Amino acid sequence: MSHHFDTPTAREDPRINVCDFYLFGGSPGATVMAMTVNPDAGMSAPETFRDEGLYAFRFDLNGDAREELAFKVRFGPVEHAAGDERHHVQPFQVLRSTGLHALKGVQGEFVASSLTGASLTGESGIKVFAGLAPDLFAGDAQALGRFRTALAKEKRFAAEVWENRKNFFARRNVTAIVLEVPTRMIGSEGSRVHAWATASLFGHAPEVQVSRWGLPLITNVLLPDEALREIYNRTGPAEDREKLGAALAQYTSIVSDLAGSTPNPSEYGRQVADRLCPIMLPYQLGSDASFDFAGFNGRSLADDVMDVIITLATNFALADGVAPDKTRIRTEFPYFGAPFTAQEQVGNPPVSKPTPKTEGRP
Amino acid sequence: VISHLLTEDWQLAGLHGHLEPATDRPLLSSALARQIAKLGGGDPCASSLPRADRLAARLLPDILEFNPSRPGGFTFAAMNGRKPDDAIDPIVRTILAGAPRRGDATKRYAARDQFPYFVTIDAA
Repeated sequence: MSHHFDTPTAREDPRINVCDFYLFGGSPGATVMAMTVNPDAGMSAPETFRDEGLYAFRFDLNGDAREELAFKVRFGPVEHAAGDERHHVQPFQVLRSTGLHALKGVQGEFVASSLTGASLTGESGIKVFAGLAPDLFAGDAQALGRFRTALAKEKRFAAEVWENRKNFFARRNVTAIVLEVPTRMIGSEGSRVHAWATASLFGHAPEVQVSRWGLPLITNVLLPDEALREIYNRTGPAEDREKLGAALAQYTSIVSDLAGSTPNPSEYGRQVADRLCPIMLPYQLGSDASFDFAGFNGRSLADDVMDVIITLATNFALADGVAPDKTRIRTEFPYFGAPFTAQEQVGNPPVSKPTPKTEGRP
Repeated sequence: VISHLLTEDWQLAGLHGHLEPATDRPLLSSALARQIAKLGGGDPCASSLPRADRLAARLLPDILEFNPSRPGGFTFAAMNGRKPDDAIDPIVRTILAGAPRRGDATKRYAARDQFPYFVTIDAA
């Protein structure tokens, strides 16, 4: 859950705060997409989805940084499960939208519907799940906070803070939306796509995107300025170079200079911006997904993305010393294992929401 | 990256020396993957053959790509050409290990900003 409370709207409602996005091969001939919302679900955030929310997996199929295809998920009102007043469920449906319908709105081909908390296989071979799940993101949030503070306030590259080695997200839950679709519903095996996930408000008012996820940790590590985070969350990848490129280059130039990790920090900053923009997750359909130091090709649930991004941000080999909990990953749909029980979460304090403010530049 | 692996296996180095990039994938992939897995030193993640196969496929053919319209350099952000003063040792070790490795960041050539770009002996 690396994308914590970072838009004003998402801060108010964690149900529309996109925390993570994954894309990988599933069962033979199928591709899996997953997003998580509700950081620390059940303790600091609800276990439900917003019924005026529109959750979308968006795919650029032709390299123009705009979506030509989207899988959109809408939820109905929260209801009591039959015979259990303490247990809540929500109906939801999945649409496949193409062309202009992919960009906005809820027009598209109906592909599945279900209730939260249970996996379902539809007629077209699509599998769907939405509900409570273990948070598989791993990262030392305390170390990241100290690292950013040292950069901003002391103008210092504090590599030593990463010796803390505590997974802030251990034994916490999120709510996940997981779709496994026949790969042909996206494109041909072997073709390269670029994807991202969004949460939007949609209902009585015009559709407004409030949260976006393409590559991991963009806002938390690489965009310290609240206004820039908001621009990122409110816009699409096609605008990234123009609106975020210079800021990404400047920030990573300053950080790599403080790290002393490159003889030409400004050139390194331009490299980072060029690498990341437009901010989408590339994936060759049908291949083994891996988000690692050798390249970005989708993202599996087990990928330790924190180390990759903090190293890329600094051009300095940094490790936070923690990794995703692989015991909580399944080999079959929905791939997320059982959520952590209240007993397993004993000793985990609820997550406090950070004060919204710009942290300042190093 | 490839040359780092070759220093660990003289037979692989001999084979590599006689090949052209066009034949790297069919003739070198499996040997390179075995060498990558061996470097993992028994670590279940770094030593896994699927990871090694995937990495070998990404590293071959053994050519240095360069697009002059994009920012250049061999860094953690991109492998777009290579400059004399790029500290490549941490990058190579990290890619091969699949986890951050500090390596030796002092292993780089002294450079100057004009031709011949390397600091020559008489100028040092």
